[in-house]
Amino acid sequence: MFCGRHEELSQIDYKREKNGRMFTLDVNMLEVNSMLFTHGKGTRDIRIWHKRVGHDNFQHFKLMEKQNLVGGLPKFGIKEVMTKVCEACQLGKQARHPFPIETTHVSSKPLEMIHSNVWTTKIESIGGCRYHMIFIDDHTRKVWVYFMKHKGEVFQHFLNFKTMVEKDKGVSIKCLRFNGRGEYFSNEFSKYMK
Amino acid sequence: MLNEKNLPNYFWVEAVATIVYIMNRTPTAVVHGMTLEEKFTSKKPDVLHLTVFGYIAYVHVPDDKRSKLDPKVEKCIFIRYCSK
Repeated sequence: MFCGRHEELSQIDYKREKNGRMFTLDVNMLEVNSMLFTHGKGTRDIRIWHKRVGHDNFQHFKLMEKQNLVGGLPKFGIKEVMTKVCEACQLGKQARHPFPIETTHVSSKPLEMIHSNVWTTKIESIGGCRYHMIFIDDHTRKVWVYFMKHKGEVFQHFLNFKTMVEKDKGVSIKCLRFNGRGEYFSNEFSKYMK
Repeated sequence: MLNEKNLPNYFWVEAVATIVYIMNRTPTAVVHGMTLEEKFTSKKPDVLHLTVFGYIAYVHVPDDKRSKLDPKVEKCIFIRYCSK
């Protein structure tokens, strides 16, 4: 019997033989063998890692490897990184001109300025959410996201977020920046801001 | 990510949460030399646990929730990281 991750099994599907309701797998076949034992958690296949990081840019692997940004990532050859094309990325990511890289940073410390926005969709999630609210720290660009069923929950989520990060960093949020939409002007929110 | 795995759109919450989780652990153009997570917490994040969104996963069923003959695992799809 063989248990494996779906990603490996799908690749060797065509090499399995059906025997009643069981599938036997000839692990002595060189091709099957190499697939089974090269695709673990520490696989070096960059296409699989590309999927693991949510279809992130291939260039980022080079960067992460070069500057040693994360632990646990295998080493990829630079040539390998340059030549891969992912079909799902071609379909899902529209080519668009990049935003100009901002050269001036307003804040110099975490939590000095927080950007926030609320996004709406018609599609209800499994839990019944139709809104999400994001907070971005201007200095570190770290992102937090909260999901809501009603827009009225904005204030409560803001308080939760505020207590969490302030407890974490030991400093208070100095400035909150948002677009002038109604969800940030509820009575309790306005009262709190004063 | 939803399109790739043919998942219904009502999984958008899980997709967004996963993206945010990954974004905080990968490089961006604005922050140089480290990931957002490292810049905020001053700790280097680990990515060995990352898994492809929508892949098939097998979850262990605790002993008291099954009898001798019941399967030990439950087949699921992976849709979200635990944020804690």
